[in-house]
Amino acid sequence: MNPKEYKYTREHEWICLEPGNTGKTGLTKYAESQLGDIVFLDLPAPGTQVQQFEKMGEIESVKAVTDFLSPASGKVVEINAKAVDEPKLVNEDPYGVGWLVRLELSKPSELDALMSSDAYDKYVESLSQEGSE
Amino acid sequence: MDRLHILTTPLEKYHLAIGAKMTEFSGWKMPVSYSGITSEHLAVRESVGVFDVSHLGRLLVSGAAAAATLGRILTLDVSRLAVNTGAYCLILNSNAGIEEDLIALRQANNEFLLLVNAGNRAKVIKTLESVCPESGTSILDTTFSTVMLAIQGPRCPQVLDQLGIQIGDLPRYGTSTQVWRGADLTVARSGYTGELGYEVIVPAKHGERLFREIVAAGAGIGILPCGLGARDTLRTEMGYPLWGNDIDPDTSPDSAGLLFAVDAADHEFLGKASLLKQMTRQTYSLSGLSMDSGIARRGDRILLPDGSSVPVTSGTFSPSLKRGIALAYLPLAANKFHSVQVEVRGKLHTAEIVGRPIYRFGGVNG
Repeated sequence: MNPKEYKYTREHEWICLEPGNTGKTGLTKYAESQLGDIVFLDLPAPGTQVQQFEKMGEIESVKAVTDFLSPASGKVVEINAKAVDEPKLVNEDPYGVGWLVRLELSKPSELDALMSSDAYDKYVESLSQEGSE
Repeated sequence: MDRLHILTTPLEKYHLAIGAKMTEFSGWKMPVSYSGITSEHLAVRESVGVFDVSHLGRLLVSGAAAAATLGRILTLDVSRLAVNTGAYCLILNSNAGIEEDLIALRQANNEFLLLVNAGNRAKVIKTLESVCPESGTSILDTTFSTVMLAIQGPRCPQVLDQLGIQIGDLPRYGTSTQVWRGADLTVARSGYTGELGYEVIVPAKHGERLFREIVAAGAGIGILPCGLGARDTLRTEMGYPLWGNDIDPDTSPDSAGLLFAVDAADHEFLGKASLLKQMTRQTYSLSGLSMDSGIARRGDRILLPDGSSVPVTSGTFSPSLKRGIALAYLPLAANKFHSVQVEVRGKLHTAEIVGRPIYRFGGVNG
């Protein structure tokens, strides 16, 4: 379910490396389902410099709000205007049309510190077990 | 709350099987949503939804002196209720602070069913125990032997009719009992959504069957199982206070706008003297706010023109209005302004002061 070629953070963001040192980022399926109906996205303006694991936006659902942390350092080159207009796309397709921010990466080696999809699957499983006790 | 003593509804397995996400509320593990808060909310506003509200306390108070005994602690003189009617009322402390808000249903001349907040059940029992035994009045807690479902929305009569559950022409808070397919039902016209709605209490072993039958009967008109998430957005749109958020032992019925639930004429009850004294110096009132942008949450600060601030007591996204809405105690003087500033995570947003209900296009208001 979590795409194999993506990398994941402990705070449930994903990044997908693209040709030309850019990376597309978004929220994971787990985070989307924990938040429930997403109604508002506050994303950084293109040109904004961001640091790995620092806040670059906010994602708000009917019942809660969460910070969106950047999975890598770099410059914002594009935000998903379609998702800003229609935030429920993040619920419907968090790894596809519901992507959030495209970054120009300044330190691509940072991605080595992120989780693979296998590691992230296990991580999410451990969280679900904690929650169900 | 001790995790080992989390209370569960008899329908828990069923809820999980139909895709509920569960949450903890007042010591209970209950469904927060199934298909999503927005779709559940809109189902109730436009058609019909069904909620498991078994976490609400159900206390049966009976005996020849039941009406008189309850009258000493409830803000309404329930001896004036006709059999098969009910009312929303309060329990105050000696400072006129709100210890509880509840619904009292008179099921028989000598028998009242109290529907109380989950988190206050033990406290209400203790209060009842301080006055009931001496008058020979008994208290029976039926919370764990029964299931309570709320069927809410403009098309709920269609679902209940189809199932053969009699609702007749019950007035708001009217109640009746009946046998439905071998199960004893108590039906009351009540709810917490602002829409026409009924609440049904059934022995626990019949609860799942009733929930399934309701969902099946409403399938053709878009019924959805609904969780506590939609229950909260629905009640916030109506400006209904939630005990523990908007009302508590430090707030009083006058500032909370709940004097309609108080009968001070020829009726003595706990807290009356303090209430009459402080009503003359009311300075705050619970108000509804509609945000131009952003979504204020409980605890966010509302900045007033004189430099002071008050907290948001309830705040959420309104699925009907598609904007942030909130409840807060504003100084009476603030009502001469049309809007206030709200600080939401470091950013200022404008909120219109709109009174209550915040959502004014609802159905028949219960």
